[in-house]
Amino acid sequence: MVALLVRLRLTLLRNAFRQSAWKVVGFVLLALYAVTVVGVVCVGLVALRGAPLDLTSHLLVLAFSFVTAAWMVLSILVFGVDPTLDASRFALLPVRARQLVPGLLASMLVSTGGLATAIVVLFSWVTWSRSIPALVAAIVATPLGLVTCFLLARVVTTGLGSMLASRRFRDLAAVLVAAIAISFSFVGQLFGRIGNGDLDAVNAALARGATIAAWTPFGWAWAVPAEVAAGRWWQAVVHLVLAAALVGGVCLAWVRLLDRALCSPITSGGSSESVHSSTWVERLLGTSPRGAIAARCLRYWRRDPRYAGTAVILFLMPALMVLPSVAGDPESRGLAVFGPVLMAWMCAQGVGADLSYDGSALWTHVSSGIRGVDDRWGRVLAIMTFTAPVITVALVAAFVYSGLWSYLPHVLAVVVITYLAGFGVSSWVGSIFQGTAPPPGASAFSGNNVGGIQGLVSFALSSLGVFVAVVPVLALVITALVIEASWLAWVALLVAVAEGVAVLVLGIRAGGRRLDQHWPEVLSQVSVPA
Amino acid sequence: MTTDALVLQGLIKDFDGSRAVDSLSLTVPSGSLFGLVGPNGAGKTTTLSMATGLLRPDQGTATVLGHDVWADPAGAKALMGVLPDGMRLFDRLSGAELLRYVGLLRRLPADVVAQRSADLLGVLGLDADKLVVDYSAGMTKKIGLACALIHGPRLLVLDEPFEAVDPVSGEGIRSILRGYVQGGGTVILSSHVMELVESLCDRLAVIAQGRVLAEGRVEDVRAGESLQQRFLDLVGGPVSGSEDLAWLRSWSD
Repeated sequence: MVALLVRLRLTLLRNAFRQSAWKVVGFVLLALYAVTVVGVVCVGLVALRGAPLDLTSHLLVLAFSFVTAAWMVLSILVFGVDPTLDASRFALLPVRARQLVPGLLASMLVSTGGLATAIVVLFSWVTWSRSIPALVAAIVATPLGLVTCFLLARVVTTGLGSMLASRRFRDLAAVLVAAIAISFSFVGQLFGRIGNGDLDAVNAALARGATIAAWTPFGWAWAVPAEVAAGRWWQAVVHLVLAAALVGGVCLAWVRLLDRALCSPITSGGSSESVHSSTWVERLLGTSPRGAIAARCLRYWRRDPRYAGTAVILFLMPALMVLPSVAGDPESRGLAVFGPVLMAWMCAQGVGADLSYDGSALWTHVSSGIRGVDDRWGRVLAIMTFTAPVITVALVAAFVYSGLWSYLPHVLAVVVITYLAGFGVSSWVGSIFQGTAPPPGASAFSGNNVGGIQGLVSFALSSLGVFVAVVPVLALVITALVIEASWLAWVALLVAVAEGVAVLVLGIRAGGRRLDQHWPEVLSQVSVPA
Repeated sequence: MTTDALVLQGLIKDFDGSRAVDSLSLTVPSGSLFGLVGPNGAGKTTTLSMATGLLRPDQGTATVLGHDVWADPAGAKALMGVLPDGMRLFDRLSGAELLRYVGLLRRLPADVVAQRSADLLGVLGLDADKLVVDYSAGMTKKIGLACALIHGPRLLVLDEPFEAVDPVSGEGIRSILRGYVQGGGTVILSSHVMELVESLCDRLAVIAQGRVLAEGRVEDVRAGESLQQRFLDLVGGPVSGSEDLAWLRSWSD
């Protein structure tokens, strides 16, 4: 049964590759990324062998406890990453949970995350090889920790399966994942700041964290070699017993849950909530096809988790990138004005992936015979409707905070050209490059790398285009700064408005014409083969 | 009414080297209720996609009431109402919002859209304020049909319109289609269910492997047999094999 499930897993992977060459490219990129990260971590683990014992213990216990907790949390949030070996798929087969458990666990090892974790665990043995007892303890205890990772992930998804399968939860999870992903960059920067300060304070914080982590279920197994290395034998024994009991207990729980899941396969639960359709968008943008498309897009930005997740990133990312740099130090407050510029640039790129997100639902546009230019305008107007006010607020906030009012025309010129030209260029590029995206409600990580790669290509091209469009205005602004002529900055602002509007209109027209000529090809590009 | 509602001439479509539709020609006279039947993979969906402008044929033409679908797409599409199979809808809209969206895309005045969508939702028994994504499969088919009807097209192209629809709603759709044809409209629909085509349609075409095997009035194609039997004769029915799957009967000794 173990070999059968692992082979099934590999067959599924191979068949996925056969479908498209893009998938192979995506997988190779992902693998390269994973190999790089794992490689760096492994080098670190080897280096820690010679580091002070206290520091090594604290770092390892804390890091591995974090990894264990991450397995559990992430498996909830990105449920659907790999539904291929989902328990409910075996519901029709005459198997009992007890027979499936070893195979399902083994097949988790054959995933990018599973393999990466296993390799890192192996290298932690090198760290602990500083003494024979510690190495023995690591060889005995860390596999328990690895199995705990897999088991916790499985128990949580099996147990909460029906809840996780509901549309409401999947929608929420997609947004949460986006928020968590970018919060990490923030946390990373904060750590960097602490590190610059007091090294003893960092050590103390680490020690406190590690002590707490070691006594949570996530840290039991990982603490064993650390305790042995420090010669605290009875604590090591307690941790080992707890870790083994945890694996046993969770395993039993999983078997019971699995038995239940095998009898009641999950059907994604529908909900019967009613929606309230507001009409202010229609009053604002009219009931022409253009206005209707804008109204529909705005509803999607609110209701479709993929868009909602993107919106979180659009607004939070610039804030999180700028805030840590400008907080505190009065000298660097001026950097705040780069926040709105970044935001304008990212928001304008938002229209690029729109067609891919529509998926095969785009047939509605194709068969109703609308003009491509209406499609382009509608999508751009929708994004402008909600991003323009936010960018304005961000601009005002940045200037109030920095007090650099004398540079208002300079910054305004750059924001305007980036925003308007950005929409123009991405409307055009977006009409040329499309990919397939996971349908609304599916996890953003649900293994469709095709859209990802083509999305990157189109993003790179349109960024290049925007840059070319921005250069003239930027040149004027820089000259104005150098010769300290504020009138030149106002000229730059005028140029920015004129050029921005021109690029916007031209880009939308070119994109519209391209769509008119290629509707069927675009439709087959974005349709996910069923 | 001399122009035919839909004329397909010499349509060819290849997918990765295999020919899905092979020089297919078909004429759907105005005012007919035309059934397109064929086994799985016969090319029904591909044919209908090429007829409606959703898929570009490698060769051949499609003409809707005198408008070439590929030379004058806007003119042809304005006359057609389409229900494709296996394509998503903008399902994060409620039923009412989706109908309004499609109506406005078709450039109908807002008050007309409101009136018609209320009519359609009522007749088809659909919940106006529920998201389409939360509809059942049958309800999704019905809202798709409503989208195809809202602009009052002269030709309806329906791919598997009765799939997953319950018998009561199915009868409702049938009477809508019959009334529509009596009023001068034309319908072409595809289906696997011979009994349905036999009882509902007045003309039909049998296609297999991308070619038309038989076409004409239902009585003529049937030639005295049941449509089911005639269909099996045409596409080659299963060879009744008493030796096949012998193990399946081995336990009943």
